[in-house]
Amino acid sequence: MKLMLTRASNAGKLTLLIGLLLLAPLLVLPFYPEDARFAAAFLLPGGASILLGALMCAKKSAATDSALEAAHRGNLLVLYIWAYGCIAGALPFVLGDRLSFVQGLFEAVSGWTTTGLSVMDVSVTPHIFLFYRSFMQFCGGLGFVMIMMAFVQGRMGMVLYSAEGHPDKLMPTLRQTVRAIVLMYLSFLVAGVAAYVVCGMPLFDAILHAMGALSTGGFSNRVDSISAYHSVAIEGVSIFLMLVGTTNFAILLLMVRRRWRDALRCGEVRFLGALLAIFVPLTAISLATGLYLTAGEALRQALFNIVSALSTTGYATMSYAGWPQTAIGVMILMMLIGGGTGSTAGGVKLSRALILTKCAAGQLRSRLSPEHAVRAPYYFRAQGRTAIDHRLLNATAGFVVTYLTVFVAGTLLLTVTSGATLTEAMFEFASSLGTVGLSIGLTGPATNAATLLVEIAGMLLGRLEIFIVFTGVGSALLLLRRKTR
Amino acid sequence: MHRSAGLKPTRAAFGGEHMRKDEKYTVIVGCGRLGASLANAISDAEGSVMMVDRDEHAFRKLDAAYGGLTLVGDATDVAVLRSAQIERADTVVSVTNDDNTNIMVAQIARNLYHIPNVVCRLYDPEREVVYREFGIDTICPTVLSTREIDRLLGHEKEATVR
Repeated sequence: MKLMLTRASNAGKLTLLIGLLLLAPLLVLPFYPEDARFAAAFLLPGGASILLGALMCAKKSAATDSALEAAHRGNLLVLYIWAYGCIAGALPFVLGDRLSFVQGLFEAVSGWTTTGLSVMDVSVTPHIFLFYRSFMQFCGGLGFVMIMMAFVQGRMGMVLYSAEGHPDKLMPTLRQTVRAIVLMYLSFLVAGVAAYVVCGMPLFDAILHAMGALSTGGFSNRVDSISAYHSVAIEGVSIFLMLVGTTNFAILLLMVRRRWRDALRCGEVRFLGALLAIFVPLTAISLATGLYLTAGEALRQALFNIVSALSTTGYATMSYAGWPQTAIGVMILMMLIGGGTGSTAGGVKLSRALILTKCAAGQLRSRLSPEHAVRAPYYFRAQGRTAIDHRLLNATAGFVVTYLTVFVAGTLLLTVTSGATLTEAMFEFASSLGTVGLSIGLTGPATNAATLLVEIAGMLLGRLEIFIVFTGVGSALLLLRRKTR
Repeated sequence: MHRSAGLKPTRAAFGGEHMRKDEKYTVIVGCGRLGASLANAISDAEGSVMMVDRDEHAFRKLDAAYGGLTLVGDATDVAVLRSAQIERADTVVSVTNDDNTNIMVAQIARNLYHIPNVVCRLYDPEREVVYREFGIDTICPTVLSTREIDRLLGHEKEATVR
């Protein structure tokens, strides 16, 4: 059986996996038997996916290609499975008669991409759907390919792994790497649930919020999100889980192994610390003067919301409608920068922002030093000292420019489709593209379909790091042309 | 991989297909054609590999499907070898294009870390004799090629080649 699966086509295995994930919410039925009437909404798409996947598995995976062709195939496959996952994931909402198709698609995309924007009214949503949404985020945080690798692996493993945007190898084999990541992720989930329960959260809420915070997703089963509990301890646990979720898995492994010095030396960790040290007090001052909060209250709100935005989680402790423009601006900036590379977070990523910041500082310095002064910029990753050479700089600059272009285009589109102000549109699209999930009030049950579609595009582009979407389409065209020739 | 007589001893040493998963750990120094194809083969069989080379661009020769680790650094530096976790290794293969480097790495692996299997490539056949007493397995392309050419040319010319 295992050997058969190893040799089966990857597309089949991934489709099968989606089917299994869709069936997972049925596990809550023993605890909430009144939700049994929705079982069919999960069984139908789940069963169909499993059947389809099994049929596709029967076809053996393609013979060894050239390296380039393998890369193309990998891109295409990753794009396929995310598209399939989002469409299949939308079906339970539609079949359960909770949402329209576009709304369901929005909710599924928001789930798998760990965004957390929602069009559901959570106060009247059955438990099975609440669990389903958070479970999608938990899985989306790892990625479909990563979850598949935890069970079976095939020849294309490494190609798919990097195509889905996992940059790090932690162990000398891919199998061990995936195992280490999944193990860490599950342990932190258990620890997070336990910590929430100790702080007085009901078990069901604790599971949901731990999954949401750890995957930097941000779905909640309360209308007021985390602030519904009025507990500093719960906010503290959330901040901790969000920071864990936004930390690169390789750095996290260093921390788990208690190699603190190596972990704290990493550029991303320091940059995260610096950003928090600058922007938390700034936002606190802005909130204290703008909303007349006490100093302590302002600091608490600023810390939680800045961490939530920067880690691209999207739990909120207050409405942003009345926030001063300065604080809103800082939040948009945080959402654009986003979390760590190779974590569950989105955004431009800390390391890219760090590289460009170093580059800018280097420019300044080189203008002040003699013409022939030699400079060798570098930064620390979990793997050690890494030189910032031209290739890395090109890739980084190219990505950031593309990201900002998409950001501007999406913002402008949102102002057209929703009639919002520029600030609101910027906030909402930065939140979609960075897979954050904070909302200034544009997204909700009453939002029109066009706005939702723009945000869906933003979330998918953001989660898959933009280029893979375009290269996936390009790869499809290339492979098609080769076949027809 | 080529199935020439020259490479057979190394293949047997790593056991390519029949290597047990998750147990053996191999450190390869030098990502040339030989090192890279060796690493690819081990990685394909789901073995654990670490590839060390001082030139980052040398890693291009590894497959896209290569699942092992890579490390940039000079392998004659013990600190580099330590960060390659050489103490965990069952096998160290030194196949850079420099005989002296290969010998140095092999000696460090054998004498400081007591690695059970150490294989080292030497271009100069005269040194092989010297280093045999260190207990390091050496392969010498020159000797192997001579033997193979000898075989290809056939028995009638045997006398002249000897």
